[in-house]
Amino acid sequence: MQVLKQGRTIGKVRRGRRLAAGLIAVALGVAALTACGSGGSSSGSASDTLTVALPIDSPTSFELTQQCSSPMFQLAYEPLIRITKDGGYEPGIAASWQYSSDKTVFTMKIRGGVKFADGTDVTRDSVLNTLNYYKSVPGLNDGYIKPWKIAAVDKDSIAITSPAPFAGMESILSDSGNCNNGMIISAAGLANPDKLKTATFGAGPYVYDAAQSQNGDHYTYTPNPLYYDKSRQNYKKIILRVIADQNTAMNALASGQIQVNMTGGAQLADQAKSKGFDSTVGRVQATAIMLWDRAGKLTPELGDVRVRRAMALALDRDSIAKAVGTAITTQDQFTGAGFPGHDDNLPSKYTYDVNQAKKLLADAGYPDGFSMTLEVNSDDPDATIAVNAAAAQLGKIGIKLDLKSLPNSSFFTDFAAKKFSAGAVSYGLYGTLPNEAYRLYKLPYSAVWNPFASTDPDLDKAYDALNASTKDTFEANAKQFNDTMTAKAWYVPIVAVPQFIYSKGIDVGKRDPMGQFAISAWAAKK
Amino acid sequence: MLSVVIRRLIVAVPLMGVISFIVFVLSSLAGGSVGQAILGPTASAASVAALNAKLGADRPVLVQYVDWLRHAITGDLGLSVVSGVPVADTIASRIPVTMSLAVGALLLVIILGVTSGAIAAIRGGIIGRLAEVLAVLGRGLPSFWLALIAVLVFGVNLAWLPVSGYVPFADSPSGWIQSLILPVVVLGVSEIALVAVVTRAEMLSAMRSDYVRSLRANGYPWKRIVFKHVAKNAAGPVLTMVSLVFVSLIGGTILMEQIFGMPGLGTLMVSATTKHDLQVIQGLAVFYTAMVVVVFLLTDIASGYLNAKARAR
Repeated sequence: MQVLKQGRTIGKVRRGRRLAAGLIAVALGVAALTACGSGGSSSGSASDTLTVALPIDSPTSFELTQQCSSPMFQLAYEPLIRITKDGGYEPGIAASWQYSSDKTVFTMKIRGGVKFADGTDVTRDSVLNTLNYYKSVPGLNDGYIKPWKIAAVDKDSIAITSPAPFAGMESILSDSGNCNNGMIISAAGLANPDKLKTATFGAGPYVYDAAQSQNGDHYTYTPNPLYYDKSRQNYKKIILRVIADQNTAMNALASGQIQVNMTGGAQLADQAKSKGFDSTVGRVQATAIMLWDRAGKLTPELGDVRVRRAMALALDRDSIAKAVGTAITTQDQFTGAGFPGHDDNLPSKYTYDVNQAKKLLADAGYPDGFSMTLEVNSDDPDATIAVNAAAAQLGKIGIKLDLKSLPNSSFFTDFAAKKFSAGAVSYGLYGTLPNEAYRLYKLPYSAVWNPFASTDPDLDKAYDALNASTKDTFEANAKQFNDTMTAKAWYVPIVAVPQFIYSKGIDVGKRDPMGQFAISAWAAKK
Repeated sequence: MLSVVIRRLIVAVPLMGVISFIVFVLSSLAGGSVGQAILGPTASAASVAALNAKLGADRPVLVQYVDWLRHAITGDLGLSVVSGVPVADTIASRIPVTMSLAVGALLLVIILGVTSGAIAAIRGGIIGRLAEVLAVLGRGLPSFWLALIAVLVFGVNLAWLPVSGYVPFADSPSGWIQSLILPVVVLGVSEIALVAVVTRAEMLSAMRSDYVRSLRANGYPWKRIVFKHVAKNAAGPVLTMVSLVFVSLIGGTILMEQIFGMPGLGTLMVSATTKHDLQVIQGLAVFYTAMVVVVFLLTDIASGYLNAKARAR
C-alpha cells in the first residue's frame, strides 16, 4: 500500500513538473513574442518612417477627378500651386501666376526643369493636356472647370479664361481641398486613363510603392529621386494607414504605431490632451438646419422670411453645443468665427430670443406654429444630435419637426430630388475667396445645397460686390454678404465642429484655407 | 456519404445564385448610386449621372445583375468600380487576415472549450460549476468592450502587443502571431464558453447512458470508457456546435477587424457597402456563402466519420 501511495505521490510530482514546464514554455514564448515590443504591425516605427492614419472614407482609387484632396494624392502628384506649411499658397509647377484686372483670366508661367517620376519632363503641354483631361471627364469640380477655356500663351505660359469673374484659382489649382485639379499627370497616365485608378503618374515628392501597399488598408510611399525640392522629402518612407475606428487610431498613436492621426474625432480632444498629443484644427464643419424651400412650395410657412428667422432665433445654441460634445462652438450667423466676413457685432445674427421668435411667427400669421418634415443625415452624428436638441427647442415656439432619418446614400439624392423642404447636415466651412466661402449660394455647389434653385436680388448684389472686391474692400464686402445671408435665414447654422488631427512629435504646421495640410513638408519636431 | 457531398454541392450552386441576387437587389434598393458614393455628397447631379453612365451603373438593376452573373459563372468577378482593382484579387488579398482570425479563434475555442467542458463533466464539483460560471461570463461580456479593454491594457499600457494592424506570416511569423493574439482571444472568448457548456452537457448525457453503466459494471477502465466511448458519442453534437461557432466567428471578424484596424474581408465589406461598390459586395456575398457551404459540408463528412447513422443518411 505504501508503495502505491509513493507511486501516486511521484506521479503527482511529475504531473506538477510537467505543468510547471508547460507554463514556463508558454511564458517564454509570450516573452519572446512581446520582446520585440509592439512594433510588429504593418506600420513603421523607425524615425525615418512617418506613419499617418487616414479615415475609413479615404479614397480607394487614385482617380484624381473623383476624390477630394487626400495625402494619397498630395505625396505622389505635384500641383500647379502648393499649399505651404503655414497655410498659404506658393509656386509648384506654376512658377508664378496672375489674374487679369477683371478676374476672368488667370495666367500661369510653368516652371522649367521639373520631371515626372517616370523621368519625362513636365512641360507647358503636360499642363494643358492635364487640364483638358479634367474638363473631359466627370469630376467634383465640374461646375468650376467645365466652362473654362484653356490656351497656351507662349512656350511656357498658359491662360485659363472663366466666363465670369473668379477669384479662387489658387485653391482650385492647388493640392488643397478643392479636389485635385491642380495635380499634373504625365503623358503615360493621360494615355491610359484606366490606369489612373490604380497607379500614380505624378511629379510629386514621393512615389507610390504598390508592392508595399494594400488597397484600402495601407499605402506606402518612397522619395521620388527626381523631385526638385528636397526640403519636401523628410522621410525615407511614408505609410498612410486607413483605420476605421477613431479610438483604434488614437490607441495606435499612443502606442507609437502611428505618428499622426487624421481620422478626426472631436470627441477625443480631451483624451488627446490628457495624453500630451498635439491637437491641430483642420477642417471646420458647420452643422445647420438648411431651409431649402424658400419659396414655400412644399412647406408654405418657409416662404416667409419671418418664419425662417423665428426658427433661427429659437435655438439655444450654447446648450446644443454642450450636447454635441467637447470642443464644439456655437454658430449664430452664416459665416463661422475666424472665417471671412464673420462679425461678432453682426446686426442680423441669431441671438437666442424665444419671445422675439414667437412674435415673428405671430406676425407671419402662425401664432400657434406649424408642422414640417425635416430630413436628417443619420451618418452624420453631429447633425443628428444637434437637430434633435433643436427640434425640442423649436417645439417651444410651436414648430413641430417630424425628423426623418436617412443614411448618407439616400439623404443627398432625396433632397436633390426636392423631396424635403429642409434638412439637417454638416458642411465644411472654408476660408478662401468668394466661391468657396460662399458656395452655399452660387454655383457649382449651390446646385447641391440649393435644390430649389432659390435666388434673391439682395444676395445677388452682395455676391457680385464680393466677387469684384479688391484686397482692401474684400473683408467689408464679405461682412456685407454675411449680414445679408444671415438676415435671409436660408440656413440656420447651429454649431461649428472642428476636425482635429492629433500628432506626436511631428510638426504638422497650420491648415490652409480649405482645412488641408502640406503633408510632404511635415518633419519631426526639433 | 458521397451522395451527401454531391447533394450538398448541387444545392450550393443555386443557393449562391439566389443569395447573390438578393444582395444585388437589396444593395440597389438601399438608395444612392455608385456615382454619388464616389463623387461625394457635394457633386452635382449632372456629374453623378455622367459618372454612373461611364460605369454602367445607370442601367436597370436586372441588366446589371445578369451582366455580372454572366461573368461570375466563368470565374470573373469583375473590377471594383471604385478602385479599379479586380474583385477576385481584392478578396484573395484579404482572405488570410479573416481566416487567420477565424481559424485562430476556432482553435482556441476547440482547445479550451472542449477541454474545459470535458473536465467539468468528468470531474464535476467545483470545476464543473466554475466552467458554468465562466461560460455565463464569457457570453455576457460584450466583445467590443472586451476588445477596448484588452487594447488599453496589453497594447497601450503594458505595450506587450500591437494595438492595431496585421502582419502577414510571410513578412514575420512572430509579428503575425503578435498581431493576432488580442483579436483572436477577444473573438474566441464568448464562444469558448458555449462549446464548453455543450461539451459538458453531451458528455454528461453520454456518461449517464445505459451502455456506460454496463461497461463500468463489466469492469472496463474508466479512462477507456471516457475516451473511447463517451467522447466519441459526445463528439457529434459538439462538432455541429463547433461548425456553427466557426460561422459565427467569421461574422465576428467584421467587428474585430474594425476595432483592431485589420485589412480583412469584414473591413472590405464595410468599405464596399459605404462606397456602393456592388461588384465587391457581390463577390464577398458569393465568397461568404461558399465558405458556409464548405464548412457545413466538412461537418457532414466529419459527422459521417463519427456516426454510422449519419453516414447512412
